[in-house]
Amino acid sequence: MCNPRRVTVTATRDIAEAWRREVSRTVELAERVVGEARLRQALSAKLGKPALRALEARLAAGADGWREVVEGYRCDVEGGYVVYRLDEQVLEIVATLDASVAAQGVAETVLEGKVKDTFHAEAERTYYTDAYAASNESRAREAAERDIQRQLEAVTRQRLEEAQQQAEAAAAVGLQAQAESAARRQLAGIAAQRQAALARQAETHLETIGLRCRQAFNQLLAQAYRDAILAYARRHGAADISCRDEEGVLEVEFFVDR
Amino acid sequence: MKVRVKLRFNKVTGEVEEFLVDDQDMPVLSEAEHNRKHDHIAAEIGNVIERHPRVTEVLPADRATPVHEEPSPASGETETAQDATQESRRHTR
Repeated sequence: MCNPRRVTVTATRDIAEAWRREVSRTVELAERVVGEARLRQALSAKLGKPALRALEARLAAGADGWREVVEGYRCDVEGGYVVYRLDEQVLEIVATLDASVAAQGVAETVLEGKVKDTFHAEAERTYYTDAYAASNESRAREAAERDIQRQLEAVTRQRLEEAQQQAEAAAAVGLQAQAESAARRQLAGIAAQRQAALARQAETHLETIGLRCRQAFNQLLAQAYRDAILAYARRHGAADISCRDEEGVLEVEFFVDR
Repeated sequence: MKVRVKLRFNKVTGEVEEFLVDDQDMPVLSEAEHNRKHDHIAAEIGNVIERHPRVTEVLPADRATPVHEEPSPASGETETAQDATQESRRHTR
């Protein structure tokens, strides 16, 4: 075996390749929707002023189960809530039903472009003049040329992929926004329909929820009645005041000179 | 006029089951004047819990039955529900 010889092959390729890529973005959005049915009762038209003042004082002091909200005071029950609207002095019973809705938005586009470039490649192979390992210059040259072809094809593919990825990245933000916008429109429609259906359904629950709400409110009302009537009794020097509040019944009794 | 006041409120149903203003004194006024004064006192006390209390007289024969059974505001269905609490007075003469 003699010393190996080298054969080096260089090549230059000019490419001008057009590319086309379909890209799409999908956005999924979900939200909870609530359907409500309401029943209002103006307490200011029904309750005496002392009882109403006592009721509001109890609420302000922190009545059991009631919490302060923007519109007044609210007590949650299973399937709804009751709210005392302070400004209007209105009791509002609300039956609620909620559900989750989801929608999908898709945006698609076709990106096109062209890559024009010049690539250089070089490959080197060795061979032996004594035909060691079945090699000779011709085979070495052919192998080097095949190496060069592979290099040029790889670099071309890479360049095309880079060009497409760059174009897709540039389009991605707009495409994402379009998909999101489509999903929002879709979701708004679905949510409105579902909400209307839930509201109709809640209407049928209003009687049951109303009962729960009134039971909660009646506890508060009993306290307000007691506070108001006892305040009256004491203010007018009543005697033999008795107050019993048990087993779901409030009883107040006193004697007063008027 | 000395009166006995009795309020009975059912927290489960939301009804004022009894709201009685019962005069205790021996009458010294004429019946009409006595009734007028009794009604005035009953309305005054009824106003503590009800915006527009209706005063009705409970005669001795009615005592066997509850004074009134109308629902309180808490049991009304809507703003237009007719659910005024009655304030009752009873004569002892």
